[in-house]
Amino acid sequence: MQPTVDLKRQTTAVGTRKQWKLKGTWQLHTMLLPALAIVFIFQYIPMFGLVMAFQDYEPWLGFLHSPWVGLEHFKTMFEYEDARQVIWNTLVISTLKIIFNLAVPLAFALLLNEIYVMKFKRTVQTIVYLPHFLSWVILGGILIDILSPEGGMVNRVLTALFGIEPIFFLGDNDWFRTVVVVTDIWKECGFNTIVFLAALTSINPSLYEAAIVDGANRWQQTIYITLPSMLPIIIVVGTLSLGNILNAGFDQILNLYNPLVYKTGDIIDTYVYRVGLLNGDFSYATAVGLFKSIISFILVVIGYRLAYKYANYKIF
Amino acid sequence: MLKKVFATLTATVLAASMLAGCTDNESASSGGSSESKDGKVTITTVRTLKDDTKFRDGEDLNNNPITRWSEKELGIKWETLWTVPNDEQYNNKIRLALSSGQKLPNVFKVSDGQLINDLIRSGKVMPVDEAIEKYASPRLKEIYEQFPEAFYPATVDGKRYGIPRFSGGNGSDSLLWIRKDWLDKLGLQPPKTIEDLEKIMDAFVNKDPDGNGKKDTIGLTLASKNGLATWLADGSFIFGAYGNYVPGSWSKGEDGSLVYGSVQPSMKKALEKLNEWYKKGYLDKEVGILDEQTAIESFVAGKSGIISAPPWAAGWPITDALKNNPGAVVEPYPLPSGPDGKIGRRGEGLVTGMFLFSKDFKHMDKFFEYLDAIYGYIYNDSTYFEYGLAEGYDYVMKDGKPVYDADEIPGGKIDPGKYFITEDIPTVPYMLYELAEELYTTKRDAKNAYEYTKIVSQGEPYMKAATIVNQQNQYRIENEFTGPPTKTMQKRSEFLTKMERETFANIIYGRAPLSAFDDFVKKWEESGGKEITKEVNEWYQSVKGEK
Repeated sequence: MQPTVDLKRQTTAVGTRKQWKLKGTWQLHTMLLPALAIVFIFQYIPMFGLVMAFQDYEPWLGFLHSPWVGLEHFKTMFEYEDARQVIWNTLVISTLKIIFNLAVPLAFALLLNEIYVMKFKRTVQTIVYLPHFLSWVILGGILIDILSPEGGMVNRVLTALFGIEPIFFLGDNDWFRTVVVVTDIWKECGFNTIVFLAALTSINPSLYEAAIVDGANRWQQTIYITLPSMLPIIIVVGTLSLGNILNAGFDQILNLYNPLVYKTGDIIDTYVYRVGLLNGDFSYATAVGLFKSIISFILVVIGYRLAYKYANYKIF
Repeated sequence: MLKKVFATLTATVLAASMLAGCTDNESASSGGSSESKDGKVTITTVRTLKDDTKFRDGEDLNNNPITRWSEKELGIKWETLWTVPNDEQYNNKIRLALSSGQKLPNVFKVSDGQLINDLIRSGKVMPVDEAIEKYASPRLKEIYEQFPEAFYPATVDGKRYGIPRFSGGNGSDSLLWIRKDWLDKLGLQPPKTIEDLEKIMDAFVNKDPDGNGKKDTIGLTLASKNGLATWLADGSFIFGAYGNYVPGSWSKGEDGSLVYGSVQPSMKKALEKLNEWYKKGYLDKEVGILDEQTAIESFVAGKSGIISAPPWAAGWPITDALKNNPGAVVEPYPLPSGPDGKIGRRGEGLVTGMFLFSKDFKHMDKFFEYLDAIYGYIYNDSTYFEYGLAEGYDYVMKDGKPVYDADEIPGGKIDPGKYFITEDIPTVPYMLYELAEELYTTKRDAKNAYEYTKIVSQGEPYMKAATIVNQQNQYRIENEFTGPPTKTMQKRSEFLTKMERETFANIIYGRAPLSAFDDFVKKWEESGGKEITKEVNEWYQSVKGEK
């Protein structure tokens, strides 16, 4: 008796799948509504503001009456060498950040995974994660002191150990990007480390057991089991960070840069900040921001396609 | 079922928009001014409320000795609709009110040139020429006639739309503060010229003035991240010693039109000097990345001998320097002159904002009555504020005499001047330091809480510094462009400013030759500088010509 009923229910379920789903769960779907409404009101409606990018926006005229200029602001963006330079700076800094923000946490997670003293492992993990919670306003001040060529901690150590002349890290075009990338990795690598550690725990232990039986050492286990098993999560993290390729870290740069390193340190966001907020050219700033979003969008789509094609991994 | 979902969604959106609608209505209804039955007038306003404004228990901006005085004596009820803690949020809120079509408060102060211009162009604020003519008291009119340029930020097509909120005029103009103990120890005289200054800096760097056996001191503290002419650790006097211009300011050129200071040939000489000083170690190695707050650290730590700062620096940061370095003596000195006897300094602007009035505000007479009444305090002829603003706040009576000492006032001293719509005791440009000079030279007693609190209690170094600044008033180089950013400025000034900062910093650090300055000037003119100069002068003619 029992099996038959089950079978019957299943057939019905398959046959009228869509309807059945809503019937049984519409209450749950309703719960989604406030969230959808919020997304709609705060994310989609403000998008109409993007119209500013194609106008010569004057606040007292509003979106409706400001004169229409078409793509002029976008042309301006590529005409001026300063805009081209900030785009280049942004790409260099963020690419470096994306690469190292994948590689460093991965290596670190693998190393941590080899530690068997739980207490030590957890402590290290927490300490590495902590800087994530500090704001760049505070860190900026601290870094300026630490990296100072006049008695800053880093320069003192360098002078004491290697006897080299103090380096003006934050005022030197050759060093500035390095400083930006290294400090960003230091601050943010804890987060990805935790993601990778979580992925490590989900690898089936029997794979390792089999490998040990086959005589693989720890290094071979890492290469042939751990890394391949982690590939999907690495791709997910990598794909998600592709969307940030034009976000080189506004808070960070704003708190660290100065006229001496404009050449290598000025990025799109700080540029937009100066143009839009300090000079009041809202339309142009919006155009640059829109350009940035479009590029990010395209990159996310490409990244997603690639992930699907080569790793057969779907995020959504 | 799907229909139901959409119905719910629509309902949610509708509810949300209704909520939004509510808040709109609310602010609109409280926007208008009204006259109540007892003949009292309510004026609405908004303002920033910084943490230096203190209240007695249970009081706030709408209920304090000043509002009570205003209601009782003048029949004006002030209603502060909202407050925010800083100017940025304030400007955002006003801008939002402007672009979303909300009603504006009756009276409000705006300091951002662009925002003032946007408000005027929107037609939501009213011109005040007629009201000044009709209602301003003779002494207010006299001040306004004395400083016509104070109205320029809110002048459009020859009409004035705002009442200036004056600054101290020369309040943040700089002079030299030097470690007197270092001078004495090394047997040096205070500087009269840039050449003297160089000798002193050389000695401060090489002769170990702090006596710790290490070569770890610098001559001069400068802030350059936000431009070399600034409000603290100011470098404008170096430029002023070599020409009539300071960086970043639009001042009158030889033909009377406005020219941009940073591209004048006299900059070159000063930059050459700065580069020389940097190489010799007179300046902080990090000078290029230091802003005003970080630059002063060297002086506070006792590693620097000279800082160019306004008289108020006597309080902060100089007291910090004295605290950190037992035995330190810091004295104010006049700015030194260049090789041709030139002296010049960055002059602070005359106004810190303009009061604007919403179109439907009907009580300009009351506004001017209030303004004149509070000005009575600094003119010392007020019938309301004889000894101070409010007894028990900034003074107390003891045996029939006013006492201003903070320790004598129960619950501590509170400055009710912060409750005024001017957000401080109102000023007339140059008046404060003029008064300080009088008090310093005649050594007379303070007549009221204003003189005591603002001048005498600030101490002797402050009064001496104020006197020096006041005596060097003829050397002020003021930024005379006070209008909104021009069309080309909006487009190009970001690039031009960036190029300027970069070039100046590179020359000082010796990373670029001095000739880089000429290239900069050429590029500046080509990249919009020429148009900007034209636009600035068109603006200047338009505001100057009519009045």
